[in-house]
Amino acid sequence: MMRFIAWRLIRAILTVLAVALFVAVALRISGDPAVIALGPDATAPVLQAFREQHGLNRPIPMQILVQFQAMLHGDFGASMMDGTQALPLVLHHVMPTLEIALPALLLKLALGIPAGILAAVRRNSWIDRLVMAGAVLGLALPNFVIGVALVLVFAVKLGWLPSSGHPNFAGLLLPVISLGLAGAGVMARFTRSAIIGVLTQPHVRAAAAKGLSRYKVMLRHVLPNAVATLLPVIGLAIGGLLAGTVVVETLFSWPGLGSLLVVAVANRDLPVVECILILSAATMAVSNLVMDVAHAWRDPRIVRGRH
Amino acid sequence: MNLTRRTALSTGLVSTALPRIAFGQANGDRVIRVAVQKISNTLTLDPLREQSSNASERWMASILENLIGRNQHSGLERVPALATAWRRIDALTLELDLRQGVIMHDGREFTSEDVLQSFGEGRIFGPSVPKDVTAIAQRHFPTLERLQPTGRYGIRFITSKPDVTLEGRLSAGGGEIISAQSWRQRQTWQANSIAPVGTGPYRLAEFVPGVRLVLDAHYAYWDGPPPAQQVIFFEVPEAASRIAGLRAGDFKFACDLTPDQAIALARDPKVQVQGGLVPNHRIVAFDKTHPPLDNPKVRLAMAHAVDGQAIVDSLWAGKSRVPPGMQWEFYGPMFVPRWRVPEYNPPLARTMLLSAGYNGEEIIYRARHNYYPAEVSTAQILLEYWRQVGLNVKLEICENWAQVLTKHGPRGVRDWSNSATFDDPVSSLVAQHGPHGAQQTNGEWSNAEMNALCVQMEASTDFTARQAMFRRMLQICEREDPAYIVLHQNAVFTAHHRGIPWRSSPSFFLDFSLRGFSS
Repeated sequence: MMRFIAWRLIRAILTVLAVALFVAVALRISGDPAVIALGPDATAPVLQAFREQHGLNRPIPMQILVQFQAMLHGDFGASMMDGTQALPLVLHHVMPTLEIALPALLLKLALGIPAGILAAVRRNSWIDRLVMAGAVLGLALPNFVIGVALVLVFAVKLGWLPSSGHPNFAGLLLPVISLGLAGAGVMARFTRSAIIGVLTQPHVRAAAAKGLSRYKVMLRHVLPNAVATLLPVIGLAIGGLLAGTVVVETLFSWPGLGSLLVVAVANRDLPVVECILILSAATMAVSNLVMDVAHAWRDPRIVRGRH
Repeated sequence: MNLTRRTALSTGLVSTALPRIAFGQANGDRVIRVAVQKISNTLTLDPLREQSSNASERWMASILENLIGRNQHSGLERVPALATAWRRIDALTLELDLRQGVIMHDGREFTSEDVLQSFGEGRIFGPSVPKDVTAIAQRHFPTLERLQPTGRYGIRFITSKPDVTLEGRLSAGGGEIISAQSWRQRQTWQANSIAPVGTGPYRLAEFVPGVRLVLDAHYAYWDGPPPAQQVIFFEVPEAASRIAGLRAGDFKFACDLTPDQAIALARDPKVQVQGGLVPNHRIVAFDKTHPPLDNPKVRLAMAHAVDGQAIVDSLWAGKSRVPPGMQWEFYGPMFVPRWRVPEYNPPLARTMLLSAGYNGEEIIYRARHNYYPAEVSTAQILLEYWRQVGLNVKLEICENWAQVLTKHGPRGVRDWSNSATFDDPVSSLVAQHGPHGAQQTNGEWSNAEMNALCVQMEASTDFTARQAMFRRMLQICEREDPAYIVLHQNAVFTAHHRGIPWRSSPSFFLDFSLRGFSS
């Protein structure tokens, strides 16, 4: 088990490093950050001064080498816009993002899993079709469309909730529901498939044949086995907590990591963009690592199969 | 803050006698909530770093003021601001009388020391100042040699060579005055750049980059106490969210509306839409080093192929205009009367292309995805106009300015806009298309005669000669060796709750001082 965890840990670290390298190269070859930051009116001396100030006049491999060297010492550099240190700036924006992302995750799970179970248990009934139609709708509609519709109804027409960015409970509702509804559809579909997969297993039929109630069969034999299939999906949802709110944050002017990312990318504020994306990649890698370990703990065949 | 007896008395007295201006809410809420697309492009509040007209110009003059102001409720002509009068002592020296009794946001009285610091070490030059800021300051004040105080309320600006544009430059972005004491108290330029302390009607209360800018009333303001207790600018990137917020009552003002949004909102009985032309022209700029655009006839033919008025009528609902070339009426004596952009004349365009020997060579047209209002729609219309006269133009939509301006790959035409930052052609035609302007330093266009005229114009003090030079420059840049095509003047629209007696300005600025309210 320890070798399994160590191997997965090394893979996670390599993934984060690969993301960091990819981001560093992609940002630099997709346009001169000085021109992007200073705009089309900037003259050559101003651009040159900006490049010198931020080390952008060096060859790209050298820039990346210097940056990685600093990052390994925990220094992500300072924002090219206002000189603020990138890491504290990014961490400052994590909490507002979690304020909507965590409740949205709970909403996804609380809506999606019971709906999926219900659809699986009532397979091919009108309940199943209704739940799956709702799930497909949630999947097909981008969360910003759901957000705009919610704003129109609850902010503009009814006036019950604020239309954007209020740091109070009422202000949380619309962004959380926009994020949660879309994700609940995904969760419902996966849950339904997982449950149906287990329901057709011989041990479930055997449990029913020995006289266990449907409730007990579900609780003791179906759900524990279906969880193994759902863990990676939940892991992805947790991993996407930080990076999955960009559009909704922009729509609701929510002062989180997503809004910061949009501004930083638009300005090619390299230290800030890189810090956010590395943090997001690390979240995803850690989440997957935890889920892999949980999966392996739940099903030791995975460890034996690998090693 | 230094709370002096004068500040305390004036603040207390004026706050009890505030003008009763309704903001459209029965509960007497005197907070103005404004939804803007962007508060600051650079996440700073300093005018030497934050240069964007469509972002910081909305609020900058509410915090920081210039020595010479602009009439924001007329034709943007120069008016006394922190200087009450100014005069030329000789060809190199401009003397200004400073307004007395102006209380700054930190409670101190404004004096010549603040002017010295605003243009001095630690602010625009010196080891602690970012290099690009010094370069920007040099661009704003290229001839400025030194400042010489003549007393507590007087100062002289001395230039290295004659510069008739100095008064105009002092009224423009980059010429704002900051508090010397507050500036020196902070350790770094960066720390100051997010906490400006000035003399404007509102003082900075809070700035959360990318989120909100909170301004509190500065009741000791020299031109009368501001009518609002607080003005909060919220960054709401999505136009739909700004409009929804306005309709839901979350905001009293919503800015940065496109013409079609403004027209739709104007039908709402609870909403009033204001706005109009601003000193900014939408243009397309040429790269004349790229065949077939190395032939001026092809460029002029492209200008004759475009009906700017049709763009104004169809995309701007007639709320913009085709301006008289790269100039604005507030240039005053420098304005060239009866100058027009090349007329829409497709047969002439075809004839010119024929005589130029144009043979269907591809011309690349780089644009961004609606960085400018209706940019993609405008580009599509232009493509069709050019196609109709036989031009083979290929549109490339770019993600950012670096991709638009990159020298990699063929360049032909690109989208751009030009502003007049002060009331002289030096602020626009010379600054943008002259030898030190972005178009030339980017290697897209150059003209020896134009460059010689730019040098002469910047040094000349003879207005008759300068006007002749300017006319010749227009002739070169818009007819003989086209550098650009002027498409239309830009306009901005602001919507607010009906019943607020607020007046919009002929610029991007949102004036929430007493001057901005009609009663």
